[in-house]
Formats: sequence, C-alpha cells, structure tokens
Amino acid sequence: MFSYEKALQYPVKIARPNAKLAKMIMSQLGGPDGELGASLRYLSQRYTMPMRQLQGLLTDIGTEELSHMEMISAIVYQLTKGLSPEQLEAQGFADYFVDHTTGIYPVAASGVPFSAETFQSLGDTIADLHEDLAAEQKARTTYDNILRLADDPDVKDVIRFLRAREIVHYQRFGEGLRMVQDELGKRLPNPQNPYAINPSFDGFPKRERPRK
Amino acid sequence: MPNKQPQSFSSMERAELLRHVQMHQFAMRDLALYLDTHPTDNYALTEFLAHKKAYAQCCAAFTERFGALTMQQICQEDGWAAWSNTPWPWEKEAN
Repeated sequence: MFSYEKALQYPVKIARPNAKLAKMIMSQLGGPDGELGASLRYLSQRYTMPMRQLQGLLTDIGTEELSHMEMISAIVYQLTKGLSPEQLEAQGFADYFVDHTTGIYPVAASGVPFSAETFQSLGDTIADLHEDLAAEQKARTTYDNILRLADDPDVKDVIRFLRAREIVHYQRFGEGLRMVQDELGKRLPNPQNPYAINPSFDGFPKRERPRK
Repeated sequence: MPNKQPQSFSSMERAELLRHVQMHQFAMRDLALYLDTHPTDNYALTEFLAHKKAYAQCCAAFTERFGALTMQQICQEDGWAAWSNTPWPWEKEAN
C-alpha cells in the first residue's frame, strides 16, 4: 500500500503566475514522457520482474515518480492561480480554461490528454528495462527543452532538481540491467545467447552453469 | 553526515524546519535507490540509517508545532484539524 506524506519532495514556491509557462510544464504531468506515465510504467512493470531487488528498484523509483507528479501539479497550480480570465486568455490558456478552468488535468503541451499508450509493460525483463532507460532520457530531454524556454527562476530551480533525478534513475536502471545480465551470464546453458529465455516469464534456470 | 544535531528545532520557522524534514527524507530516498542496486554497501546503509534517525527527530519536532505530516502522527490532543486543516503541499504558503 501507499501512504501519504504531507510535504513535497522538493519545495515549490512560485512568486509570479504565468499561464503560458504552466501549459509547457503541464507536459511533464500528462505528456508522452511525463511523470504520471513514468510512475505507471514502473509500478506496472514491477510485478513480473524476475529478481526481488529489481522489484524493489521499480517500486522505489515508481514511488518517487508519484512525488514528482505532485510537484509538477503544484507548479501548474501555482502558475495559474489568481489570474483573471482575460489574463489567462492573453497568456494562451483560453483553450485549456474552457475545458478545465484551472483544474489540474493530465494533458500534454500539445493538448493531447494522457494516454497509457505512451508506455509499455511488456513482461520481458530486458525489453522493459531498456524502455525504462529510454524513458528517463526522454524525460531528461523534455526538462532540458523546458529549461530552454522558461525564464522564471522559481520554476527553473524545481525543473533542474527534477532533471537531475532523471539522470540518477537512468543510472540505477542501468545497474539493474547489469544485475539481470550477470545472473543470466551465470545461469544460461549457452551464455552466447542471452535471449534464450525471458526471465520475467520463464524464471532463471535454477542452477548455475558449472564453471569449466 | 548529519551528526550535527538540532540547532534547536524549537526556534525555527515552519519553512526552515520543513527544509530539514525534506532534506533527510530526500537523502533516504536517494540512498534507497542506490542500495537497491548496491545492497551490500554497508557505508551507504550506515548513511541511510543516520538520515533515518535525523528525519525522525525533525519530523517529530515539525509535527509537534505545525501538525501531522503522516496519518500515523495524528493524535487526540491536536485533533483531526492538525492533519486536514493545515496547509496542503501544493499551496505556496506550505513551502
């Protein structure tokens, strides 16, 4: 189960509302490489991972992504709070306003609502971990793009924190992949063919291959 | 690591005390991910436990003065409002 802690992982305190910026940041909530998708990806993939350590890694990173989703939502909330309909319209927020007022709704910067089609839980250890590595890089790029466009120091500070977390997660997933490959290397009858089995479905061969 | 202890949590403003809570919470999270892939690194585990202890201390100090951060901290004396009617994390004032 999950239990809630009543604090953000990293503080969000934005002095100046800016609906135009809110619309860009929103992509990391409901966009193709956003935090909601990240969380669902890892928390869905973890069940069939073949090693408890990997299940733990996906649980812990998936949980952290939930707190990032909350931070992104807090940024959007603060950036759109207290603006008049005229200001919202002048800042390019009219289309969102018509559909959602200033409610927080997971949607990409391009206007496409969140879709589970943006991620996969394939049930294949190697494929899922490679997807996770790619996902962290894609989220890192999205944050880099936001940093190129954003000019508010309060927002940029938080985005830099989130960007750094993508890099840490990428590193940890790489180590997770190595753990699986080491295990396969020890147990597969023919280590020349690492794709002979899918440990998420077949499990690892029980015994280690005898060393020559 | 955080062996320097509570520069008197009781005199801190809410935001400053919350920073301590967040700092130790974050250090635990980050070390947890590292330990997931380096489970035999005892130095990292020691660091994790030191932050866990420091977290418990500043979390208790925060709760006592500014309300519960988790449901486990809700108590009879402060009443339900100390959980439900203190600032929620997305409010600017909560940070």
